[in-house]
Amino acid sequence: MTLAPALRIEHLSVAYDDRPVLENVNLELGRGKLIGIVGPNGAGKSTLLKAILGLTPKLLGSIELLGEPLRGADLRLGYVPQRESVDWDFPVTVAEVVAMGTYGRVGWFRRPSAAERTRVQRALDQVGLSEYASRQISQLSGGQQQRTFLARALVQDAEVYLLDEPFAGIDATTEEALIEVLLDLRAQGRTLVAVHHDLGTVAKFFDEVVLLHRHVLAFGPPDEVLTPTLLEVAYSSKSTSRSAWGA
Amino acid sequence: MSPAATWSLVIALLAAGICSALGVWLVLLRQSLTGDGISHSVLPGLVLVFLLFGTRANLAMMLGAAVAGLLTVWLSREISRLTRIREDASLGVVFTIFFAIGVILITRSARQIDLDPGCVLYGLVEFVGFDTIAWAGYDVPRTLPILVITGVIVAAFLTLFHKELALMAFDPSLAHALRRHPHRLYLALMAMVALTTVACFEAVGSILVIALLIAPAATAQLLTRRFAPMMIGALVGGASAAVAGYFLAVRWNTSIAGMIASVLGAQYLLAVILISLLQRSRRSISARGASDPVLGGSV
Repeated sequence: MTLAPALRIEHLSVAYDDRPVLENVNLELGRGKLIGIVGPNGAGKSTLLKAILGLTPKLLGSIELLGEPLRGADLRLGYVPQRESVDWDFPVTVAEVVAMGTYGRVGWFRRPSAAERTRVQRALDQVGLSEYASRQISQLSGGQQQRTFLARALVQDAEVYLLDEPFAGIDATTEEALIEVLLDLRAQGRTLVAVHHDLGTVAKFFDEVVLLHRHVLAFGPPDEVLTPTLLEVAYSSKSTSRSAWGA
Repeated sequence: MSPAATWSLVIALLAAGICSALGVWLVLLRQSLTGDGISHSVLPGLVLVFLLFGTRANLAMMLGAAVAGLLTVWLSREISRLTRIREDASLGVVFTIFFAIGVILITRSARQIDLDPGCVLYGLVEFVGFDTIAWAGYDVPRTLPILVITGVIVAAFLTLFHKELALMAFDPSLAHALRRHPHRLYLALMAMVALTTVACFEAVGSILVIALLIAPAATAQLLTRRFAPMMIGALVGGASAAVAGYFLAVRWNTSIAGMIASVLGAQYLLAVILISLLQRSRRSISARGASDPVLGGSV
């Protein structure tokens, strides 16, 4: 018997203020893959992740996670938001931020158990941040912030991870740690979906690529998707589709 | 100190403690103005309860106020969600309208109502010791049981939901993804603010409530980047301002609430001066370091 895909998205449409951001997105993302989402600015890449997470209300469409319809937030979905989306002056330590990844399992009125704390420690080790465990997050560099998020994703222990621009503005050490963690998770059969900006490195990092511009222009292995013709369509169609919507 | 004077100090300290602790979360959520908004918008709730039910019973008043306060938060959130207006702007509009409705209701029915706008603003902390009831076999100020119960509820809320509050404040989208219901938690926190505002304002007045919700936490945030020291700093700052403000007011025969708020302002000013002096000296050290070929600019 064949396993249901990690994510099945059908006829997904999302709009902000009557302005369509995603129109009729259809995707079937297989398990155990590293999948990149690329497309021009405003193509709806982050919105697609947020719609899957239920952070953005969808106008139309349905989403299935591992063969079951998704209703609201689901603990089998892990999320690594854009680094800039949180307040890095907030008074917490690195270890506390990583421990937040366990809060869904830990539940209300309880503190993470010793087992969960060991897990946090292991995740910090894996991304090379154990020395920084009791540091305040405001003292971290950009790369260290990203690795903190990565460690938090690890302790979330999700089946499908959604990562928003994890490779943006990071140093070589962090990139190495990031790739190592992603490959490790993939080896465990988990699915990783990451929004990516740099077309030059897509083939290096990802098994499959979604070329997105309000709808799915192409989906498949990088060499099939990143053809000059398709990229031309994605990155120059901005003006035409805008005028079509009169914005 | 006379018993009445001691009660004034106790009540001021209690109000300072509750407001400072809640204020830490308002400041961390960058929602200080929401405390201000709620404390104003509870007014029509109070007046309506009195007009409709003819009671000044504490529980009914607090319920009315809490409903008005939550309605304000909910309305301003909905308005900003449905339109392009930012939440701070819609809150500013909603709470001023609520406050205005409250003022109109009070002045329209001045004869039936024993709610003095002056008392609402400045409080009557000087006189709490003269308005007593029997509680657990003792003669205590009427406001004491309300403050004690509110204090217990707020302390329990902040302790039980600490990890969820931190998650919501730091990363609301993860809070949602992990099913920690950040929106409901936020409303619950705002209900705590509404409850606190109502419990405290009769004793110490709404101006001091606002000052206590914002100033100690803001001062503590200037001085530390860690949560526990910030919470302790805010509590110590609020309590010390209550004590110092009380004795200064007695010494100069002026309003206790006004004096406490002034001390809070002075504390904040001192912290700002202290921090800018520290930063200046740090800068001059690093400037010297940069010109030093051995040490380099390694700061």
